[in-house]
Amino acid sequence: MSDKNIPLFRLRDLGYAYGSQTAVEISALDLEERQIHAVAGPNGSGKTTLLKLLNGLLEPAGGEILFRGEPLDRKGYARIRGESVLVHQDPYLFDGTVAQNLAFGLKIRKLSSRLIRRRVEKKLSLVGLPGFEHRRARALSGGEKQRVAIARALVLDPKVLLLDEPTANVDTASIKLLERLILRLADAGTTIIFSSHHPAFAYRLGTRLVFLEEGTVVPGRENIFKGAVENTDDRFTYFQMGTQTLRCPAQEGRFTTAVLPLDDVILSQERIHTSAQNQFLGRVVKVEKANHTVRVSLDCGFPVQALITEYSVDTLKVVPGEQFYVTFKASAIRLY
Amino acid sequence: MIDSLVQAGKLLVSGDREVYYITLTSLKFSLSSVTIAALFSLPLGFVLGFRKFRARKLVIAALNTLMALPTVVVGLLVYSFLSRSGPLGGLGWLFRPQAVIVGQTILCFPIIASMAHSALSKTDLRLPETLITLGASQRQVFWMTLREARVAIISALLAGFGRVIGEVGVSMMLGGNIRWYTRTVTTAIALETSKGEFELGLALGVILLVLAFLVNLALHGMVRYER
Repeated sequence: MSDKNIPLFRLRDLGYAYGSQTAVEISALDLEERQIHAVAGPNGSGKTTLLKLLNGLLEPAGGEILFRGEPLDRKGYARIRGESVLVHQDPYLFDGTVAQNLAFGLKIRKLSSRLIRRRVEKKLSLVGLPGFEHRRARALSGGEKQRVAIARALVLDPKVLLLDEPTANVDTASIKLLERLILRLADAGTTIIFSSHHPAFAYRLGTRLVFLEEGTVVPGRENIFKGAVENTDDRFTYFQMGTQTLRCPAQEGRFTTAVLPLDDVILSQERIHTSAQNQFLGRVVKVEKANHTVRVSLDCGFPVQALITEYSVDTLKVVPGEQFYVTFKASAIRLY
Repeated sequence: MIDSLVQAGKLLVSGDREVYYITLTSLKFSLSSVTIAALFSLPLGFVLGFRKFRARKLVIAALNTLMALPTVVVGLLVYSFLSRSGPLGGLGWLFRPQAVIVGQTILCFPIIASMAHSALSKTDLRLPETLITLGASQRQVFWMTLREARVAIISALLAGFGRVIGEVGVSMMLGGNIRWYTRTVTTAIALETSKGEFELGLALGVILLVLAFLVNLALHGMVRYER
């Protein structure tokens, strides 16, 4: 098996353009195995192009993609075919029955028809469509079509599943089912890379988030905390991560992710008394300059990042190793 | 006119062996040439539909021009190649079925290629990507694309068939209208007309139409219409 340190995909100076229009320009990006990668970004930010490049459906105009440490060239494409399948946004289903759609990939791999029937049946019930074998594929609803397309990919037992906008044009029931399915597949060791401009879906599911803007990877502007709701009273919802608990606006739900914008985090040398409900003592781990702001990473028993001005860095003497109070309002936190 | 219809019916019912023979000869020539032309024109249509290359527009324009090629010109051209003194004279194909099939293949090739191209260029771009991501080889992509566009492909083949089943120039010049050998419905019509047997000529025309209709029905019956 491959070395643990080699990422599944390693992108270096990757470029792709449609005509003179640059679609993707990524200087460096690693995507690890056995993670759920959420690629987020507005329409036209290059999400689809990136997924197609990762699947070898498009050839990079510049730079390279390493798949398990090996370049994704002609020989690499053959390898990736066996391991990775892409499901389009608004997928194309073949004219015919649902079973014929699912069977295609297995037929060209010359599996026996008995084995094909068994696998088709199994994957159809996995996507919540048991007994749909003989339905006409193109007569299904948007959500059902999406699930058929996912099942058509899953019959091949891919190690990497690429989903382009799986939540677009899909009903809420299908989204819920898709969420459970993705978590189940990830548990079984499948690497999932999906794009979405549906923030709740991306935040909840993504164990790694990649933000794209105009084809470039940009650092996230939010802290993303994974945890669970401890309890909710009439004032707050208490969100627990390890030993620490965040106070969030009171709301019902089984949330797994708390999102806090970097600009909403205040650093101070002393404890301050304000209306802000969350205050932790943390140690500065890293200070990075980004344009005219500075990104400060702290350890408060959980990692937190804050975006502050260069002036604040100088006056407060923010350097690694120093301790600061980290303060933010309950209402700045969004739960997903 | 009515008389010729009656006569056509009589010819069909009476089971005149010669009428059946020339009908089958027509069918044999046409189906053979359409099949051979399809072997080359469908891949060409696929390439024109999906690959971008410099001479692409030129090839498409050439195909569309060739669709207007007069049958006698094709006949003349193939004749000059196959005649005893021509470059392929050694084959000895002139005035034999092979010569007619070669000529008819050239006739229907451009129309099938051109129609296949326009059908395939309309196929969804997600189709080839879907096939490739599921692991299909180039050849499998080709066959699945034809299958998905099958209604339009059948139309292209039928247009090619229509072009050759009703033509007389190639059959006459290259086949020579030899009785019990290369005589087809159209060359027989030409012969009967020149003899003044208009009714018989018309009756054969009706038979030709019935034949074309049956072939159309059979091919369209092969595809199941959906949606």
